[in-house]
Amino acid sequence: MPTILVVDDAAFMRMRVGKLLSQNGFQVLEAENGLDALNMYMQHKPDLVLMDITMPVMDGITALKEIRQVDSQAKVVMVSAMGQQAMVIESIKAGAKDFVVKPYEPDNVMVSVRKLIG
Amino acid sequence: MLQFPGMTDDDIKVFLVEADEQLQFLEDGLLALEQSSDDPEVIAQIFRAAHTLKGSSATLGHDKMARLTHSMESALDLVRKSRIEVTSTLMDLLFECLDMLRILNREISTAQDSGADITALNERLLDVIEGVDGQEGAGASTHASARASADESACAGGLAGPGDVKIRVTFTKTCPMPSVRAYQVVDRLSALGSIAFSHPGMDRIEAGDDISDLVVVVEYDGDALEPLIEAARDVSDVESACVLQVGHVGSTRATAAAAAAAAAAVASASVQGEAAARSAAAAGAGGTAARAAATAVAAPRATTVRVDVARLDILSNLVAELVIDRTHLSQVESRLAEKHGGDEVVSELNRTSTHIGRLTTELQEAINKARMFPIDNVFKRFPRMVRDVAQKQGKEVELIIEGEDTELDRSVSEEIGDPLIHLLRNAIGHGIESPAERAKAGKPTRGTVRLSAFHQENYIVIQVADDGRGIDPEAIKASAVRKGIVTEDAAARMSDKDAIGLVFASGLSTAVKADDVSGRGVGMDIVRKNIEKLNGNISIDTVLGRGSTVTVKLPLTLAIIRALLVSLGERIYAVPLNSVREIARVELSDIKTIGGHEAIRLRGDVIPLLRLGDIFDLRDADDSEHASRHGQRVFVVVAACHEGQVGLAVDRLVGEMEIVIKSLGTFVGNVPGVSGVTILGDGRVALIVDVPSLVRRVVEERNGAGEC
Repeated sequence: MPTILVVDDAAFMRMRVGKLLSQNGFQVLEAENGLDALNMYMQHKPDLVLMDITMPVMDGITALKEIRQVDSQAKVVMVSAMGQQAMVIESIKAGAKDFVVKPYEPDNVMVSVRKLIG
Repeated sequence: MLQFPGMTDDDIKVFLVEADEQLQFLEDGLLALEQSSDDPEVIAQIFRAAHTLKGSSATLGHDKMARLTHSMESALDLVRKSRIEVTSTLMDLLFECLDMLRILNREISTAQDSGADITALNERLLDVIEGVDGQEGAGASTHASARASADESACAGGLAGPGDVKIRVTFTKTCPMPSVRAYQVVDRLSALGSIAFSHPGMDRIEAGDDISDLVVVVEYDGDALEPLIEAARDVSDVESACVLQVGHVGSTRATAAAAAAAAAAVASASVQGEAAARSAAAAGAGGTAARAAATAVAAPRATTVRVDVARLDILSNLVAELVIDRTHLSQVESRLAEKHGGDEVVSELNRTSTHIGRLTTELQEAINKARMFPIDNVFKRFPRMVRDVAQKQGKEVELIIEGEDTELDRSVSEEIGDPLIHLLRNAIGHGIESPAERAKAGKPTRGTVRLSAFHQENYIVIQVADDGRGIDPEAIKASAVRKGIVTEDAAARMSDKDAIGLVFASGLSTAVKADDVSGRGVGMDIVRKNIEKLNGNISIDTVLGRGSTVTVKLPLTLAIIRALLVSLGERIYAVPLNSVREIARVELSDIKTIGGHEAIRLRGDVIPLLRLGDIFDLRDADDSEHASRHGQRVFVVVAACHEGQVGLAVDRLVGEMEIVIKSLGTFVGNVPGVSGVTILGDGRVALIVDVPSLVRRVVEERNGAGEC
């Protein structure tokens, strides 16, 4: 079963997206900031990361860069709010594979996820 | 669905009207050619039609038509030069090409790809061309270059160079951050080839601008186009991705294969974004509403109504009739005033007729204004064309456009596009030097072509100015002598100004090599003919080493011109004022007969003299008497066009006025020397004298006599 790491500082968001993913047959891991995510990534090597951008301790873009340092093949999908175009583009330049916009539609998330991990 | 980026519906309409006409010329020409296979005029007509279609379709961006007409033109050029014979096989081939062009034309009018393939026809044409080149020992290289240029014209619609693929990507309406999606598309395409161009540009994409679609030109080495389409479609929220144009991808056959692949890709394109569509329905989407609101603010409510030109023509005609009646009315009124001066009723009539007169003038002005639109509509297709032509020639050219707000009549604007294309191509092809050459001459490597328009009285003046090498009168003379246009003797006596004027002579082209850019010398003479047909004129100023300026002066409308009215016997003729150079009174004894033709000498110039009565077979009894009636002098109207000048002997000058041109109608047909008729204020009909055709007649008639 493929594993997905959900990174968000809001527990509610982690819960919502976690539920969606497990319903669709994925194993879900959670992290509440970028640093947390980096540690989890090294420990579990998930198949995909859903990464919020704005978070305390370490933001999503920094975490993305760190993760890509560790694993250049890492598949990271950014989760952004409306109006964060510039940051999303920066993430893509830094190696993010895709992005979804909050508040996200379940279908959009699944399209992105399935595109990257069958 | 066929799309022509950058073309409005109006542009396409104009293209279609013209293409229909050219296809008709082509058909008429081919039929005539079958009857008499060696008539140079007919061959020239067919050649020109193919040439015009080639230029227009390349500008429009219809690749197949551009390629086919290019090959046809090359083959017809050989016919024109008598290097191949007109056989029944060739006729069949040309008729097949015509049928194919009609199919391609329908593709444009219906915006649907017909799936028609020109490859086979194109190959057969190339075989015809190859046959000649082979026989004459020019060998494979010429053939290869013919093939290469056939391919090259395929990308004339805007691709930068070989291996370019132009892709258009649209995003779903619900796509949350289209600019980021666009960035992703560009990012993925850049993994397959280098990005030559994108619209919107990368700065706008990276700034997160709200965009709805994306056009990217990728320099691509692969043979199959699917990977490109796949890469673009793989990005979420991409609604469609299709290949608009393919540049030089290997051989002709490879291009055709690639195009077919592209068509297949397009067919299956909009499968994507299914999920997005569903979520859109679910969302109810505040975002969508906000975006719709933004669009509403961005596009101000239009306050215009589209009107069929035919309706405007009807209005113009009615107003023209009204103007004639108004003049008549005021004449009647003044006759009444003479008879019954001081009568109350007469002065009442006077007041009313003055008022009607004023209203009519205003009405006429208003209608004329309604027919005007900014020349921008014509100009806007040029920047792209200039860029492409310059790039293909390895030249650096900046196009500066001025006066694009200048308004002109629709009828004129429809006619002016092609001549301007020729002029711009000439400016780049013959005028602007290569960057190296410019650097050597101490000029900035980037050449400038300035296209400007402005009003001057009732004319619109359009200028195409370049800062290139200018025209060398000696080179023109040499070329004209070589081509037998003038004798060596005449060339030696010719002033520089007259020599420059030779560029308008038929068959003169200083470019050594026939090329896609400046044509094969069908350029300037046709430009001049087209412009004179519009009652306009064209002139060139040039300074060797500094550049040339071509000035085109056109009436604002084709319906009304200023004319000089003259009478001969009982009849009145109108001479368009733009061709009247001067009016002279000449002693009968000063009319000399040279080589059996009458001529006068005016300040050292010998001017052929024509009597309109002779030309139109209207010699009246009183015609011979008028000289005695008016003493020993006659009025001579000196009328000129580029090919020369003539003096028209007339009895009396009636005056100068604005006249409304009426065509002679199909039942009368073309009468040599007459370009139309007009109805005068008193209801009489006056013939409008066609000066260029009279001049041509004189030149032809008297060339044998040596002096003209």
